[in-house]
Amino acid sequence: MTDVTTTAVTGSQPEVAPRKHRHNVALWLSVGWLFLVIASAVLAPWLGFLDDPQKPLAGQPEEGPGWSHWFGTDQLGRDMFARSVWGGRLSLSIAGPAVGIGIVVGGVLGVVAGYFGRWIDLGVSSVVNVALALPALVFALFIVTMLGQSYINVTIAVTILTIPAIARIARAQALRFAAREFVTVAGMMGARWPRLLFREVLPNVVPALASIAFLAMGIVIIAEGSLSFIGVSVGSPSITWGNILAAGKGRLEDAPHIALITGGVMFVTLMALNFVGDEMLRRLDVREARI
Amino acid sequence: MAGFLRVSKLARWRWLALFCALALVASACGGGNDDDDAGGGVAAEATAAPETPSGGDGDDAPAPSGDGDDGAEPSAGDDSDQDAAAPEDTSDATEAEAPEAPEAALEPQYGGTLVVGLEAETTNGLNPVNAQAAVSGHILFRALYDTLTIEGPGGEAVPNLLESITSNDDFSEWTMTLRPGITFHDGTPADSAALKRHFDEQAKGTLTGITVSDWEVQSTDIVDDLTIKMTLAKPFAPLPNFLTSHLGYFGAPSMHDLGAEGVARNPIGTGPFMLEEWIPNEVTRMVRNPDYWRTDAEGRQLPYLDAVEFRPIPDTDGRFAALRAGDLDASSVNTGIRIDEYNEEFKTYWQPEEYNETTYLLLNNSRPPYDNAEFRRALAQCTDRHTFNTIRWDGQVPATGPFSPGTPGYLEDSGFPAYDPGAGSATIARLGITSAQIGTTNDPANLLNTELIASMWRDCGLGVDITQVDQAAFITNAVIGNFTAFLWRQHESFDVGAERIWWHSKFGQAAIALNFGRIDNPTIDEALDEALTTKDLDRRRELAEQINRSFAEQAHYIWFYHSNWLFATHDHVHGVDNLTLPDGVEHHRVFGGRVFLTETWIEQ
Amino acid sequence: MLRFMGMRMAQLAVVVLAVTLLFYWMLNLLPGNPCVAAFGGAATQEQIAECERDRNLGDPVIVQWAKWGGDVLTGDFGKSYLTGRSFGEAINHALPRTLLLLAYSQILALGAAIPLGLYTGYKQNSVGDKITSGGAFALLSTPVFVLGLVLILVFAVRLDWFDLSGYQPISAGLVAHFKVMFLPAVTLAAGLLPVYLRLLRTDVIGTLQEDFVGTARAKGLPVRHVLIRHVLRPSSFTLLTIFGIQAAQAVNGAIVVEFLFDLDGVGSLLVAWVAAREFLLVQTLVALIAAVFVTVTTFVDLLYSVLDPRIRRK
Repeated sequence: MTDVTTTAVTGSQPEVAPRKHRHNVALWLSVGWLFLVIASAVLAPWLGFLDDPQKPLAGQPEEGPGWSHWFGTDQLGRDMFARSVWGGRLSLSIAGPAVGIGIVVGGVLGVVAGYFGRWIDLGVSSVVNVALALPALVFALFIVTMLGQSYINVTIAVTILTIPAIARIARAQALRFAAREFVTVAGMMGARWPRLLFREVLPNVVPALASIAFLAMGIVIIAEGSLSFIGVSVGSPSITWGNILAAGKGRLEDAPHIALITGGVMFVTLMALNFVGDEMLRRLDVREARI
Repeated sequence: MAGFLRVSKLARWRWLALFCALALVASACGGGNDDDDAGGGVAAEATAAPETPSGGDGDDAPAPSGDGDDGAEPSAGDDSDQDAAAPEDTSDATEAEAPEAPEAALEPQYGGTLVVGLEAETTNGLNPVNAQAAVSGHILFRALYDTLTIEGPGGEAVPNLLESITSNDDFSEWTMTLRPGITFHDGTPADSAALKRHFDEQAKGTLTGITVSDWEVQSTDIVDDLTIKMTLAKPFAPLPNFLTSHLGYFGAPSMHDLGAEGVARNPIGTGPFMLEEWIPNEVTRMVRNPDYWRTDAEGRQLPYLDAVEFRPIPDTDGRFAALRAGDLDASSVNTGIRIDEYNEEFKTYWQPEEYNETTYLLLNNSRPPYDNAEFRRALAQCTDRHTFNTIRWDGQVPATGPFSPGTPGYLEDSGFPAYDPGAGSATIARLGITSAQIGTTNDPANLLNTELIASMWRDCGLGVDITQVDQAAFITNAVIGNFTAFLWRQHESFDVGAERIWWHSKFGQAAIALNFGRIDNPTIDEALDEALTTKDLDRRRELAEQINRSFAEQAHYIWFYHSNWLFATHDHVHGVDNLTLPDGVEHHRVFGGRVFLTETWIEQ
Repeated sequence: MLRFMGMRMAQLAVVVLAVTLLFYWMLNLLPGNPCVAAFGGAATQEQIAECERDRNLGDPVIVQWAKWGGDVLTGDFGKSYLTGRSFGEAINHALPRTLLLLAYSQILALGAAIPLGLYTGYKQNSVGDKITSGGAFALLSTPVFVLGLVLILVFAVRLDWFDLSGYQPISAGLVAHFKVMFLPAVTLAAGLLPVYLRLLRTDVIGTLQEDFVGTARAKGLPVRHVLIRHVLRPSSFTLLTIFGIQAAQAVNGAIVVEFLFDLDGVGSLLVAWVAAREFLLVQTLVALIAAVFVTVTTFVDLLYSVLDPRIRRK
């Protein structure tokens, strides 16, 4: 799966390159980084050079970054590089399904609302508007505390967060294309709504949604990180980026590498996701799509 | 831009976008499944469950009411360090150990507000009947109320607010006499009627009631204005030792008239300070009680301070930073990580070595798999306590039981199973037990401690789940037995007889129980029962040793380290935990980290 | 106009009712007696009975919900059984700090976004524009808690310019107050700034192409004058709108920032109540927040159409 990503991107390079060289380099770097993060997350159990992320005293406690422990060690002497990789693994395995489901559910809601309009639109838009006015983190907190801090429940909570935002964008896209000439013409030629929706509107909305998936991914990673940070995401001994930051928070003064390096990994990953997402939106000329 | 793109390119981008998105989603899903398959326990699980505390630092702690002590929670720091760092041995520690010496030369000054950092807010407010006071709570209560008795020399409680407390020969009839002329904050007299009411109210408390009912009080008679006589159905020698904490915080009848909730916000005691305002989780502010009954050794009216502000700062590092920055004048500390820094930068009042609390893994002896003694012993063998203490507590020699060195009952070798993972894993395999659960709070330090233990057990082939519970819930979970195992800090063991409510099987049966681990051990019961009938120190020591060995033999709990408390102040603060007892007796200072601010003053 | 407003309010009412009813129903599915849990396990029978009465636990879910709604509408917001603190008391304590935090962060974010937005819009594609936009992009990719940790490390721990001692009211002195509030406000503002900045920049670019701006410039008015009088003014409506939308976002941020800086505001209150399973209080508070936000955004929309004639005509 992952190589499809790279191949596709590589394939398109020559065409785009002449225009915006700088953007291209950044895009390359972003895609490369994402590939690295995703590949290490997927392959973590089979990477021989990775320490066991749970093994105490792999080094002295709170060792700084060095040759034997690239990212240093935490308070228990566990290897921080391994923990960052495994943290990314869990963070991504929450964000992936959350965004996937969010795109499907939000996309359907938005497209249906945008295409059919009237009371369906009114209903969907009302819910979406109010949902966007709610502090989403509280809602996620509420769900996780009530249902329990498990992988599934955290994923459910963050999935619910993505739906309204994605629905709003899908609706805007559907509205935009529903009014386009080719749809109107097809309608006049006697095509019925399923055909119009699936053959004419949907194919135009999907690419925008796909690029939005990158932006949504970033948002979900931040949301899960926030939950972890305040101590209500997936419980120990599971490792997420947010858990690592929360554990390192108290040791900022004496062992800043614990929180800062993982924070840095998170930051670069989010940059890359946002960059790829933005760039795709720009090339597809999608507006009103910022989440 | 749109015009610039040719159609083919647009189409290509569409597909690219789609693939990218799918790739991300798919790989991430894969990741999730792998986690579960790996079985190594990375998978997320978390149900709401029990848990507990303790960790390197601050939380809310312990325990419930009752008596000679309370609860839980561990923290960090000590022995080896302590030997190195603590006052007795090092030059810089002079102030710490002998605060009185230099101070005697200084004339106390009146006035000023002392700002004190505490480890936790006190759950349920300032009602001594149902508060769950940790050390931080006891410091508050000691400012608002005087205790009826106080820990004195030689393991005996001595009268404090009481003028005397005596019993008949078999300890079944107790006569308590108050000092004359003492009034509560609202001006009402602290007399025998108030004292009788006090015990009546304590008997109604959910947790204090458990303790009082154990006394089997048959009658409480008012003998005269200041004296009551309590007749019990059985001998109860350690009774005075129960009056040094919750049961000893003497509140006014007018306070009890307010009802439980009213009391929580309107405590009325006889103490040196009166509550001005209480903003939970932020500040408890008290002002001087102008009619306080006590004077210092020179006959000067107490207290010296105009006001005290207590600020709960659960984060140990945050509290240290606030003290260093001068935002706090003083701070209550239980941590091993910064012993040297505290000793170097501040005046440190250390708890003496004996009667230190013990941090241990509290096991629910009534719940599988922890109800199996063989399994518990195997777990003890799988727990590398030396490494644990090295990483998390500055290398103290692992505790051998609930009694710290110097405390009657301490044994250098109690027979507690030594670290032997080979034997431990063999036993676990033979028993066919494949998984166990440990709880923790969300506090990062507690979590790390628990993860460390879990990883040791996993090395023995046991699958370990960690469940996390909110700080506020963990004592409750202990009380109602809704837990499997968690780190806990408790047991000063000033008088082994007073520990009965925590260890005797009699207190482990009910739904709400103070014998949190639901220990049911006849040897321990027997020793605790005998302790009710004797004040003989040697016999009490023997009984304590018997209990200690039995604990080790059954591995009811897994002992880690003894933690001693510290009260750190800036140089301008004097007279911490000085208490002039009219009879000239010295009380046991900084007992369990609790301090009196009665004679504390600020140098302006 | 009134009809539009009425519609929005009706939508809001229906959705808030539906969501709270759903919550009530979910709460009802939880095992255990919420009143036993509410006291932390150690309560007398009378206390539990009183709590059950207060919460109408004997009634069917829909009746409980209706009674809750009635209580909230009549200003009876309930109380925490664990601490004995009433909803109002808790809010009185927490709200000022959160409002101050939000206000400071908005001031900082707008204070930086307006000049930068005008500049980058006017000098499109200049080096300054590119640097600013890059910075905004980086900020947008920085989780609040990561930025907060870095700021704490650098400015509070290493440089020791600011305090981490928890909230200090203005009455404790302006210096003490800002020593505590500045970093949290910056942290929160950093999340808002790029959103405002990007929006304003796009808006400015659009407005600069309009006829009236060209006219103003042709008349020889100074650039600064044109930018502020003719460009910023119409853009302020856009800012107003986004301000409303970002408010909910800001509360998310406030939860994390309050946690990080130990400020004990509304966000902390929500987290504490959720942790203590005080779901009814959480529900009441969230319903109130939602109502306030939707009202504010509706009002902003309204203001927008009243103030900008171009919109009204459309």
